[in-house]
Amino acid sequence: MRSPLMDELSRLDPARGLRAPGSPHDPELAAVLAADRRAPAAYRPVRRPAHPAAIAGTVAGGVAAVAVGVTLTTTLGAPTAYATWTAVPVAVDAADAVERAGACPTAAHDIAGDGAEAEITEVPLEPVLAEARGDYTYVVLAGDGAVGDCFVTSGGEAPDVYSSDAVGVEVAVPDARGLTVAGSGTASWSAGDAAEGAVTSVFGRVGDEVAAVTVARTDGELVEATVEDGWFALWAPGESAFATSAQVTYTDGTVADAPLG
Amino acid sequence: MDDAEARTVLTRLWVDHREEVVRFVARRAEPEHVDDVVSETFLVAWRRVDEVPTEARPWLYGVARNVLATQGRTHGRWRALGVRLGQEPATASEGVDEVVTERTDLRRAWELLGDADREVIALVAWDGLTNIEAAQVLGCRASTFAVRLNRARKRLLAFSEVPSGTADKLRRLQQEAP
Repeated sequence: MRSPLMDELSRLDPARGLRAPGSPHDPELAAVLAADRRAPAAYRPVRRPAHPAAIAGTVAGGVAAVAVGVTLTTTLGAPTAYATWTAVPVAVDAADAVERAGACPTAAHDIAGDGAEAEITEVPLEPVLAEARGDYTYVVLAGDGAVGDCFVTSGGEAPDVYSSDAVGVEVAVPDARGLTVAGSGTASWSAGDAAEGAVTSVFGRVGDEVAAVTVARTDGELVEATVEDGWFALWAPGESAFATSAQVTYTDGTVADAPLG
Repeated sequence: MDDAEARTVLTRLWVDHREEVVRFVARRAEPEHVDDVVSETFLVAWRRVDEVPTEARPWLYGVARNVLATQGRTHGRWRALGVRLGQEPATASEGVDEVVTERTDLRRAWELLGDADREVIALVAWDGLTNIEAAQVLGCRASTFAVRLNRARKRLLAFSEVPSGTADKLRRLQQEAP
């Protein structure tokens, strides 16, 4: 039922007088119909595990990972390569982190069933960590039984935003010297001419005594994670999987290897 | 679905819904981006034509919203929307002082609303959706949407009753907030 307030507001609709009827002869329609219908949809690229064994190990290690409906969304931009990426992240202060996370999704969606019978549950997400490497910002999101990550380019007024989320994930809080992976894999949005190339990322939780986390790429390059408020995250360009263990530095200065899973 | 059938379905979607999708996008995007977002929305429909439900409008709006969101214009678009709302002139036939005053209050209240409140209200007041359809666009339960809409309405009403001087101070504080 519409209220007088809503009726009054409807008179302020900025598109109320806009006319744009569709015709079968519109050139814009012809352009859409000329596109390859079976080309990979830019909005649904595949996120696949970088090292499935590590993820399986995570489940066994206490993460009830029921990654239901992991989705990845992106735009049809034409970004360049990750030339400005750095193996060491740049610290992002709290205010800057809020701004950088502003383009990221605020909720994950769990869809059960199909079509009109589908039941959709929205789980609010909050940014828990933000880091910058060159022109790119990576944000970890978490909610009640849901996690997500978000990748934002610094493309001026209209940055590209890529995000994924998984509902049904309870990330165990590790002990003081522990590390738990919440998400790991290669997100590829390299389909078509908009190819930017894949990125591989890992994020999760760390205990109170973890001061730093470093992971080697399979090509040997060391990547330093951002560690903040009990969370850690790192990413690198390409499909090169990370090693199956991380080098963890504790607050007492000692160093140890911890399985990434 | 074969290509000929897919073309027929997509063409029917375009003819039936293009204007609605253009309006939906125009309420949320800068004018120079509207055509691109609409084309991208129908490109998704073309590639997922087998999935388009019989009641296509909420589905198309949901796709358009996703296109808008993934383009990262979330913040600028609503700010722009507020500006355009403020510039909307009162029609001559309604040029009674009281009506103009009420509408000015409503514009001011709209500018004080948060993004989420504006979105749920716009889906009903401007996009003309039912609660069930709007929930489909946002990907939430209809009951959840109804609660959000009710809260947003209450805030809009409350803000519309805020004295103009206080509203201006609130708006300045919001603009100064990080």
